[in-house]
Amino acid sequence: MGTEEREEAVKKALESCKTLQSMIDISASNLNGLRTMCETSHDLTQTEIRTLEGKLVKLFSKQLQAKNKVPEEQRTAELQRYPSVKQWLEVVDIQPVAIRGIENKNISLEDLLKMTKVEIVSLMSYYGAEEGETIRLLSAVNHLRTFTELQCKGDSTTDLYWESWAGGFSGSPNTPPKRTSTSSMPADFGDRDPPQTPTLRTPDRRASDTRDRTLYPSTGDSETYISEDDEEFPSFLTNAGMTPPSTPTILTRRPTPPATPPLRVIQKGKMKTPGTPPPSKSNLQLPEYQLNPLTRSRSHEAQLTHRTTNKIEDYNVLVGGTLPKRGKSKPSNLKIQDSMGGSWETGLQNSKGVSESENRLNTRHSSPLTSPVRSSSPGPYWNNPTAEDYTSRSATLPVMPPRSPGARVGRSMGHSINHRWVKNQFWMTQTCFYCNKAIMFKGVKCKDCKVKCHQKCAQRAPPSCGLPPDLEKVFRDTLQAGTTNSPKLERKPIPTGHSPDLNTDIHPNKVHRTSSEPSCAELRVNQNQTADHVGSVGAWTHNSADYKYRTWSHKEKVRDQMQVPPFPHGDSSSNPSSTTSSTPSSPFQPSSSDSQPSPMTRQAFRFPDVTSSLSGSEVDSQGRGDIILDCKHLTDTVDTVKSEDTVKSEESQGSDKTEVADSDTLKTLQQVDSIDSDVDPMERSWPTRQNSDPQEPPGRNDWRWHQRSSVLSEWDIPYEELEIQDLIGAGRFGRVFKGKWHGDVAIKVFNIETDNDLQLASFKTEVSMFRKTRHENLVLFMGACMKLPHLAIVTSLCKGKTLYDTVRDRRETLNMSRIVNIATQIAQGMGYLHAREILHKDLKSKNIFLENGKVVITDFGLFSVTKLIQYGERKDDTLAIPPGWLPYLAPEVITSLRATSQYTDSDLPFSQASDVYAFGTVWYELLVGDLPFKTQPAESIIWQVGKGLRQSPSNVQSRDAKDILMQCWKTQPDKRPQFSDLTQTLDRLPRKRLTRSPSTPLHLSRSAESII
Amino acid sequence: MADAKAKRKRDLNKLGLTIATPADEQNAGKSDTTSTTKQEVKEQASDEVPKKKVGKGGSAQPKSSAKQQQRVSVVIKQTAEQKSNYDALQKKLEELELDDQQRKRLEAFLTQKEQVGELNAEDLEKLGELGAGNGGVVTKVKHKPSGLIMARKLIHLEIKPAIRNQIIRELKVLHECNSPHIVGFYGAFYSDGEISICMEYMDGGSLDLILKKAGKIHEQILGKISIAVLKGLTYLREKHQIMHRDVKPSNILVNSGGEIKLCDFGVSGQLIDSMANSFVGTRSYMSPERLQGTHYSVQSDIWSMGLSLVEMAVGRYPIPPPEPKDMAAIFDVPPESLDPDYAASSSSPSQAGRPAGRPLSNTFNMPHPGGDGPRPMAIFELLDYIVNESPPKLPRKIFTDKFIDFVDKCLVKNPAERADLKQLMVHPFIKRSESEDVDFAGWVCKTMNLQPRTPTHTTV
Repeated sequence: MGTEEREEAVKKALESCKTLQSMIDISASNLNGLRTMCETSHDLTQTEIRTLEGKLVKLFSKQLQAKNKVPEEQRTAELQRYPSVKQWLEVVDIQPVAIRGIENKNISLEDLLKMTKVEIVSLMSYYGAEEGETIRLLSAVNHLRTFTELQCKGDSTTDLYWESWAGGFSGSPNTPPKRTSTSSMPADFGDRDPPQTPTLRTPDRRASDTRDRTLYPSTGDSETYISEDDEEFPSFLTNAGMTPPSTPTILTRRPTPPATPPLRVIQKGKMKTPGTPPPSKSNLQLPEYQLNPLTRSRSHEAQLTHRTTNKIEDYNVLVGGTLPKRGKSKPSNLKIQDSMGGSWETGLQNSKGVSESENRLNTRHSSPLTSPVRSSSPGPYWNNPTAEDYTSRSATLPVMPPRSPGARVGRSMGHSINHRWVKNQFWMTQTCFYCNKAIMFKGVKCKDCKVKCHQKCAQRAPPSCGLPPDLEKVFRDTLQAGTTNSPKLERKPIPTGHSPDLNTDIHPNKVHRTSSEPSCAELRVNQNQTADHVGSVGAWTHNSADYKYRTWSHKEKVRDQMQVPPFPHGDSSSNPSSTTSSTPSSPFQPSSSDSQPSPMTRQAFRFPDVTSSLSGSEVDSQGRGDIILDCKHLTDTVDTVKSEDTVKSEESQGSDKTEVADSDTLKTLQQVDSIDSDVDPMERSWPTRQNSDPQEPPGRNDWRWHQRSSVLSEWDIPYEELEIQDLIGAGRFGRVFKGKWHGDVAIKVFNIETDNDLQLASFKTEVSMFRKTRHENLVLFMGACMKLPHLAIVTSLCKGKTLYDTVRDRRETLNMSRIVNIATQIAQGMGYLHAREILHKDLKSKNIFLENGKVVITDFGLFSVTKLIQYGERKDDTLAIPPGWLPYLAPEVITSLRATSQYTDSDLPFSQASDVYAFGTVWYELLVGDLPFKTQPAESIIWQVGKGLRQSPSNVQSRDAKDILMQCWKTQPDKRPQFSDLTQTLDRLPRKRLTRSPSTPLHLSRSAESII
Repeated sequence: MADAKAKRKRDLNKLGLTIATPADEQNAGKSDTTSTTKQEVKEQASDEVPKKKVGKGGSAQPKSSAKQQQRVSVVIKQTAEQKSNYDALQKKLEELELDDQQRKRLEAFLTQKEQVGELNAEDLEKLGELGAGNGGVVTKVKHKPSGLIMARKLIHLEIKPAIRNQIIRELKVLHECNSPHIVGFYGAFYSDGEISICMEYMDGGSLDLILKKAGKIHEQILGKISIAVLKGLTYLREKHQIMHRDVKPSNILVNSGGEIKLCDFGVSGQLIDSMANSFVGTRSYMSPERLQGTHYSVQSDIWSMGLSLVEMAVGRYPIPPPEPKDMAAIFDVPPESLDPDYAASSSSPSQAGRPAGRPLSNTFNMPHPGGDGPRPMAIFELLDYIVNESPPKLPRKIFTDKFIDFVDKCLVKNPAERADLKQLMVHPFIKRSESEDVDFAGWVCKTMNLQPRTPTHTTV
């Protein structure tokens, strides 16, 4: 080598050493700062320190290498000074005494590297260094050595740190701060410098080591997948797929001996190679979705074709790409969906939710398709035989998810049912249903629809018994109109399954009437029909018959009882069988009524779409309109009604549609209510009533409220009957006791301000909702005590552990199959709830019990009640956030949080999608063993989640599992899957082979059985 | 050297010995032999927990008698160690570099504290309510045996005994936090589902209450406050290696003696974790880096301090910043006289980080002077503003340049660029404030209608 070259080489080496030195300086000072300024027991600090240590090792090693490039003889004095032993020792955090000693001995870094362990130990002890320091030095030197060696080989290692804080270096395993994450979330994101992002350790119990999991709450750093917009999705998918198996993680975590186990590659370039090219991986997702129909759906043939032709669109859907025609098709579907799916009480309110799910439906179905195709492929996403039946019958309309029973396929009908008023004394100030003023103590209550009002108001009440509020409104309007023009009730188009030219009423609601109504006027049913095309609501003329029916919502058990009181109107060709569970397909024709003009002209509410050819319509003699009440014939009328509830059930849905075909089938009123009291005929017209906004939460004025009241009485448990035993839990709402009431029960006692009407109303709403829930994965509601001051809900006692405890119990083995099993059951229960249009609003692992392998979900729908009652004494500008609540909140909910201590339902945008998000968090918990954002303060979580940042479950290898998580955690609510989809997706997850052992109870693997 | 330190710490610990369980005693004995850093103490504490679980399984019954025995032994130990405690105390105080008045006060406090011994609920008589804070209610109480007036913070926690004991243990570290800028600590105990932390009673209350009364606080007063906060933070960091984590006006207490002390700092990690709720509101003092979940350190406390100072100077929480005209109204000056920079920056916040459909300007009203602040925004919006928008600024013409610069250096969003404690301690504003002679005690008394008195008198 020539002198010049040598000098060059030396210069180069020097320069690189200098650059590295400056980097070392910075890192060392950072490290120092971290060690002194921060609480080093903090996870953040520790991982940060580790990162820095690793970095420093690398830098030192690089210096060594640079130096080594120049042969020894040619090194200048300056070059010889790098790397600085002193600095090295400081970095390793050795005592100054020892440092000075070593320096004095003129031991260079290379010497240190060459020394054996024994020598180093003796050296350190010579200087009175502590054991911890010695270990640190050993470890650091080892790392340096290893790294240098590997560098020479061109390889790079991962964990090059040592525990450099008090608390010992006892071999506690540490996660390589970024490395695990970067390996699973590589390449595309991976260009940011790892050390800048702190990592957190979670106390995990998965994978053999406690600190395997790392959380990456970074802002926009690659490690947290940012699901803000879906373009990220594919890359995440693919990258996830490239994750190397977990074993290296485990191995690398131990304090690294010189002979390092297979190390995870951290070089960013290298990370790309193990994986398959992104697109193909993502595409492989699709076949799975395609395959499912083969096993599940009945009309899978159609679906298959559907699938394949729309593979690209579907892919786009899955990937979250834009669907070109989605927007277009939305509106029409929206309408259809609503009419089909929305019950009166919930449809208007939940139209948003419905439309969201509708959108989901659309996305799944890849809505660019025309409706026929769509309808024929309800898809694997709907695991809904009824829907499939439904659609198979009609090829023209899209399938709707089972919606509420109240879905009215609007036909015009007349309604003229009088109330049956009974004097009542109210234990609380009520509000008059009609005049909206307070009722002090004495008032009257309708026995059937539970409307409460003043006596005077009652006398003036229209025969609107049982009408839902919006119809009530129309009722009033028509009265006011006082003309013969009947208002057009704008209803959304009728959903599917009905052939467009059906002229019959398809009213899914059962109407029933109490049997004897002594002095009711007769019922008249309208004859004329408006041309009922699918989905449109016809106007009714004043010749239209009054159709008397009534929505029945609360006696499910009676649903199946086809008490068919004699139907006086002979023309009616009632088909009891066909009308069993379905809506009356056509208005019945009270033939006998024809002969009897009502002695008093009554007002009857005429529904918009009355189609039957009944005779005898009268005009109100008072000139108010055409409403005629004919109570008398109620007793004689036969009608088949279907409860709102039953629409929800899938069977009824199907049969509902079948009977549509009977265009001339008369609707038969059914006597379901066993109450047999008489009702005073109410005849006067009703003047304007204040607008009842159907969107309002059910207040006491609400028709539904009264429905519920009757329900409540049925489920009422006298407080004295409850034997309250031990306290088993306390939450935000009150306390839960174990107790006895015909067996073991759980009694949830609420602390509610007795004078807060809104709270009470919400309580009652919730309770009344419970009766609709019967599913093996939902806690059994047994009744409620509503006698103030005792407010309690009685459910069956959940015997097992909560999922919260199970997940955190280190003795529990939660392998993938068990996880999937649990998740599937949760999804099933939740799917049922959503099908019943009930939102859980508080799904979390503490609300999920595992009884011998069976999942039981509790506390659904109580959110409004519980949140309302808490922390009354809090200042108004603070919001109390219970621990473990935020991670379950969907971003749209979290960003709506305001600093007020009072919340009502309408304040937070809960939806089915937000329930799905919460499920995603539960899924995360199952996989990872703890909540995301575990160590973050509330404000930080709010900001991060609101921004679209999510925790990345880095230790989870399964791409599918991560996929599910991502889907559930999507920022946009309408992009999240529905529970019915999730059930199927979960089924498709690969599980380990041993799903069952002989001792496993049968129901544990029930869902597993279904795929075998 | 290590052993002596340990012994001293243990002694001081015994000063305020509260719940002494058998395991605790053993633990105290053990601490001699290991190194004395706080982390080790904590490690031991956490090691204890599993042991406790095993050992304490069926010890419900004998607990009370064991407790009594403990009390006896404690008393014995106490008397034996009185002398050594005093020496140890003296040594500690040396290290703090106190001036005479501070030293005297601290000694007085510690002497009084010795009279207290173990605290329990029956000895405390409630005198009044002082307020409610994060997760707890603070009441004014009188310790009947000694006659001392204290402030008792009650935190309702339904937790397992093991965790509860760990919290008590962690809180015991507070015994060693003796500084003129840190609220004195008498002891902590658990009773009846609630953890009680008994602290020195500060009759001036917290600065947020004072702010409500005073409307806004003058720069010179703020100077004294800044010094105290900085010193308190420095003390915590240097002597205990902890950061405060929750600096805000309601956690800065003052008294009629003119003392300014920090309280409610995050000494017990377990307590923070176990807290039944966290409270977020219309105001957040959390630094941007903490909000983003990234690495944070004591720099975070400096941001909080800076924000608190601005709030106290202006009289309202400064985010989102008031319109120039409102600012002018607060200070009673014509709007034009305000700094043109201020006008420009505050009236046109960037629209970039807005949550869709919710422009910031719609969500808050402009406050009236001395008012409560803007209408509550969604919490997320507020936090997003802190992270994304420029930090609040003081109007130039109203405050001195030194103060404005001080605050600006505190309110830098990037923690690395933000000034650190050392730099701030030598900042011109601080130096000037140190030399100023301000009758802080007088101001406190005037604002809160108190009688000037020394803090060592225990009056009701």
